[in-house]
Amino acid sequence: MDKYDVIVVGCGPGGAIAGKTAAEKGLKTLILERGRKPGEKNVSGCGLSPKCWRDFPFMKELDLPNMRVAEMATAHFVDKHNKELINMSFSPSESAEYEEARKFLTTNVYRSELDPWLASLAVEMGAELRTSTLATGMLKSDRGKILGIILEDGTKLSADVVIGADGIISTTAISAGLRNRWEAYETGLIIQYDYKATREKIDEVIGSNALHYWYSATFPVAYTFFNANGFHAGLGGFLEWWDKSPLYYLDTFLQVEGIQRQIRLTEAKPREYQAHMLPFLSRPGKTYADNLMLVGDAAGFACPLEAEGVYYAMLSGKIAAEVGADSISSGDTSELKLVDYEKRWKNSPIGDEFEAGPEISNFLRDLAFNPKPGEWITPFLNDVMFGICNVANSHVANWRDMESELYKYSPYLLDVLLRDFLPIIGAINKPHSKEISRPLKWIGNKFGSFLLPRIARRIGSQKDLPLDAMRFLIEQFVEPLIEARMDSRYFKERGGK
Amino acid sequence: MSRMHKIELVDRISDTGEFIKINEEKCDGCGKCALICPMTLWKIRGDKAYLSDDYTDKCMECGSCWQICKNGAVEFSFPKGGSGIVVKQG
Repeated sequence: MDKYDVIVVGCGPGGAIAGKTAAEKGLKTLILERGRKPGEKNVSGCGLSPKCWRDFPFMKELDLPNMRVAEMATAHFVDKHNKELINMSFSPSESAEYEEARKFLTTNVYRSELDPWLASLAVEMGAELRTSTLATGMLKSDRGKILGIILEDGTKLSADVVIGADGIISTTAISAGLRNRWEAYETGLIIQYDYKATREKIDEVIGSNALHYWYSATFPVAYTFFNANGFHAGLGGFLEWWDKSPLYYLDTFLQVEGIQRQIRLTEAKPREYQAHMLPFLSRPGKTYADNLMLVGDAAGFACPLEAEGVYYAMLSGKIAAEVGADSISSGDTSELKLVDYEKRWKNSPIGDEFEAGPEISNFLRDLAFNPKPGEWITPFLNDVMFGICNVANSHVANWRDMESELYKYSPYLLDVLLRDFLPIIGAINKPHSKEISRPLKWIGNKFGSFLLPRIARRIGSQKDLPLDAMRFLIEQFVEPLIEARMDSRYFKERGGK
Repeated sequence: MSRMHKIELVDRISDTGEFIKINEEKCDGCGKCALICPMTLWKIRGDKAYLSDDYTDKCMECGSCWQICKNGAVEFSFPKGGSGIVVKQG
């Protein structure tokens, strides 16, 4: 039986970086990949965040044939008639913490190009990569201790440490008994088309404004993300959400005039149809056992808001390999030692991302993966802009009317403020709760987050109250919060004034 | 775009072997697999779900049918290493 120090199952970004790091530490490392080459089974958005460059020096070498740097993003808002009413763009801020974050929002790549490149870094370091190889279970002792991996042809491979980097349907996690499949409300289905166009056309029409989000009353939040010679147009939702076929919503999205225009102007043709599941956990579960650690999607490490996965997979792969190397040299690879892995990821940007996990999940469920609120959000944003800028009447007359025009939205705004935004703000401020006013602590707890939305709806149903109630709530909750953040040690450490 | 058109937009290596099974005892015919499948490979007849005979030539291996079934009636594994869907621009 072949014996390795570390076997990594799956050669996506998490597996490749785990394999690279383990091999760098001098460990005998094997990476298993079920595709004929890495990336062949993977689908994603796919925008790499500047964090990849901040934390992984080798990313400076990244130069893929079809990558496109996104220096601007645009959010489009579509109404219940599938008509785009308003859009707005944003760019990196000059105040961002590091160079790459000031330069770009994401760098868009195809996984079929990224994953083989990351795998080549692992192979250069001495890791062995076996492709077209499916792991079907864990090799276990009579007492159930994990000893290695079993392949589909029955081959047994032994390892001191197994790193499960095998995605959302993780054979290693399930076979080891760390988890069963997640619940339908913790996972999402994304479907998308890849469109082919020429680099010149996309340069001309899109340039570096390469991330387009489409928020609508007619489909769950969707996107067109542009690479050098093509783009992804897709959407997704929690698995239990779909009331009609996902295809119905994808087709509705593609009928929006703005998308049709992007397709026409870039002379794009559909090149590929793709589907993939994503974890949307509000909190990851246990990610280690005796001789086993889970990384990336297998561990549920996708950011709960945008489902960014590549960076968190790479980071967790690196941490797992480092903890694995430590544990092998100490001669103890039991879970008593591998608990260090959990401590380290909880203390990294991964843990940080899940600090407000349940609150962010609620936000997604209520507002993004649900087209219903688009029925008022799209006209509301448009009415604000129209109210300020339109020339159908004198500006002063328009502005005089604006308060009463916007008045009708106040119950909705109040509801969203209380039910979706304030709980997130409450959650991310928990570590600094000494500096937070009492009302904010109160909304951060379950009782407050249950009761306040109901109070909000009652207030909203009283015709004369909403605007006064808004003012009252802003005075009570939002202003003390801003003051608390201004005063907090946390804020000062980051150089705020 | 029609269903046929979508199938033309997916590339694959055949010889996958069987990789999805339905456990008829557990299936109550709720139809969620049929609703969610991005390739519409499931049909409900009577009170049971049926998987298209040619699913090995069409399935995109997303696993949604397995994930969504509240009774755990869908048994999903991956096709043989080196076979099945090939994502070229993922």
